[in-house]
Amino acid sequence: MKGFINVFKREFNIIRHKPFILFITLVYPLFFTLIIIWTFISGTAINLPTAVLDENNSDVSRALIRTVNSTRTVNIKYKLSNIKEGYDLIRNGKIYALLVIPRDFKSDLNMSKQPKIVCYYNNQMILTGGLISKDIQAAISGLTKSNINLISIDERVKSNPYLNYSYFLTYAGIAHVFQVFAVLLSVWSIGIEFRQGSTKEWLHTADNSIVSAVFGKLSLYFLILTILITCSYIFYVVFCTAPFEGSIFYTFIGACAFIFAYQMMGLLFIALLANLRFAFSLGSVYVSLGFTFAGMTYPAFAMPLAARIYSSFLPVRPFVNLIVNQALRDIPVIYDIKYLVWILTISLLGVSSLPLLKKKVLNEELWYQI
Amino acid sequence: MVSNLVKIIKDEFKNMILDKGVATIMVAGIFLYSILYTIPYHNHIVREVPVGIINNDNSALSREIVRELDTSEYIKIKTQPVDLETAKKQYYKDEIKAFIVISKDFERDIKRNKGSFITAYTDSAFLTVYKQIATGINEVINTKNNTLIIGSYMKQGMSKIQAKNTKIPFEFINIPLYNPVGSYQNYIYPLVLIMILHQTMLIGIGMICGMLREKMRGTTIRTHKGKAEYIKIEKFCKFSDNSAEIVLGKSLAHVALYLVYSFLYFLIYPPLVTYQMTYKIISLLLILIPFLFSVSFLAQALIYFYKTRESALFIYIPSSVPIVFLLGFIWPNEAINPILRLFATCIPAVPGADALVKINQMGADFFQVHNDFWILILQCLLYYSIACWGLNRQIRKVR
Repeated sequence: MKGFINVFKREFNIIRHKPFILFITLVYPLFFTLIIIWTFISGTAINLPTAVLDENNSDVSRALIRTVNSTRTVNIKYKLSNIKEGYDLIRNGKIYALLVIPRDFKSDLNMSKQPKIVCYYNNQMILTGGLISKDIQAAISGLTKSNINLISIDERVKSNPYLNYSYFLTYAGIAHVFQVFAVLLSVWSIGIEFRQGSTKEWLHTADNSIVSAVFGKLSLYFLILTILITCSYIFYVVFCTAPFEGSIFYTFIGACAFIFAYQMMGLLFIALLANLRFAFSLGSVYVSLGFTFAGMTYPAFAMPLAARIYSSFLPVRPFVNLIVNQALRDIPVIYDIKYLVWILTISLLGVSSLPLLKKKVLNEELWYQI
Repeated sequence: MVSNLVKIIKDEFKNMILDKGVATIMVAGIFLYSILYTIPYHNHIVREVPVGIINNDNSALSREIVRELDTSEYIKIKTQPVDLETAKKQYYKDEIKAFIVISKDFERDIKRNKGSFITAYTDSAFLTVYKQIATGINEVINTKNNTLIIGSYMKQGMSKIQAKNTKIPFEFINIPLYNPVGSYQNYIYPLVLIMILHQTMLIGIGMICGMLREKMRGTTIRTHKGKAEYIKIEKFCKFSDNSAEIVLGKSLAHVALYLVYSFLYFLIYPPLVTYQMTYKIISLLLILIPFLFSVSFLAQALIYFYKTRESALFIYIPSSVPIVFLLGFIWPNEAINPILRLFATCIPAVPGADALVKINQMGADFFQVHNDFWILILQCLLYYSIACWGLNRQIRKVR
């Protein structure tokens, strides 16, 4: 225990004199957290620019346009006179959708000739395009008088009834920021001992116990990062009025396990490679792929097997499940325990590499490598 | 002047390719990342989302609906729980992503023309999954409604065409442009490629500068032969003291190397990885060149922050995801705060990705994205000046 405390003090003294590392540990994670919160703060996308080409220009077509314009996502910004203008506007990103009402719309309607209304939308931006086309369709089909349906759909959205995607992205985005720092700081703090040739002195401070040496060092970053991630989420919930329905305590435990698991992955990398630069590169690949492979933009269950296997080694996947379940879905804690177990299982990989690290710490040939 | 420039370019090429640490990022990373990122989106779209269905009616009609829902490409009926409690449990356990309830007397109410409903318990926390479920249910029920109602009109004596026109007075056609099937590969992968170019270049240059600064302060390094040696260099660049020349020379090397990678990414990858590409080479080059220069100058402008070799990794790795969010493709620009937008515009990837996706995927011409071009040119001028000024300070410090 004395060794643990000595290493903790030693680490504190190391970073105290390194303004760059202090900045990276204390300020930088918060900076990115704020950027992410700020990006999504407006909530749902509303009033997206849309154009309309009304070749009919009758009372019926104008009424139709008014209805479309009154939906939340749509803002009819341009009234065009030819279709080419519309294509150009979509292509250079000035509008997301283009609604075309044919010339004989009203008369065809009266003669029961089933005129066609066409909505072109930009599907290169899947989320935005999908949102706007769905809303336009809903607005227009609501117009039809004969919209008496035998079967209606009574939709009960269990979580996030406003279809506000920003909550999910913000919760997941913050987790992503912290996984990066947990891995990089853990790789750096151990790797720098190899780079500077001070591994023996470090182990000596820990009374030759590799456990005290590693955990004394990492506990400093663990403390800082768990405090920061907790503050980030609290800030998001309290000041940005994001929903949080479930157990705060359990989520906190989850966050601690999450930070710990990533620190252990960093430990694993440095124990395997015993080289600051290599471990850093491996760690960067691991964390940068994390966001995509954990299924933040495209769900993991729809990925090929290889990607699913890889993603099961990313603590961010169970953690995002856990925090989203607790924050948005109000799922009883008991169903989320498996995620905690999952996170802790991954961290065992790192813990089991401690004997290997001890061997390498004593090898002076591994010093000063770049 | 020119001979100096050539020497600087050659030297920078050596730094990028022979230094193992830098080469891991600027050579291996280019291939590794771009190949790894093809894996997750390999299936292009989310199909067959598992849902549960509680069929309380158990009539011919309700069973038909269950069958039709199951054949929809968007969803798959994975379980048929007996009651709401079981369904909820399965949802909590994440076995199903949503569940649907068909009420008792469903068929009887429909046959009596009273109308009935199905209840869909969905979860919209994750919009990508929600969208598929909602689309699947809507499509199936709409089609069913149309057949039922047209059928009942026909029973009242209308002809088939009359019945159809009464139910559907006009048709509404949704035409998705540029990415017709809604492939996530088409959507995300082009952005990923641009981000790989952007981030690896920033990190690589940062590492080179960081290493040079470490050596200028003096540092112990293990050489190839395995011996630890103290190294201290006198000058940031062996061939020149003129920062304008050094920055330009280095950036020419960076841009040349990355143009090769860009050709690989934008001309050779599309057919191999199956993502859409319009091959508008001239427009592409007109954006690509200022984009790559801007990234190189930006990386060099931040020289002050690269105290050591590893500093650049700390600075740039955490920034990838926040930058992706700001590109305007995941989240529409209109929904992002204008001040934050302005800040984002200073990052080369933001105008770069905007213009490149519009040219490469949406078929825009250069003049349709000329705004982005001018932003990139402004960035080049700004970052070049800062880089020269910053380097001058570093050079002076040593003297």
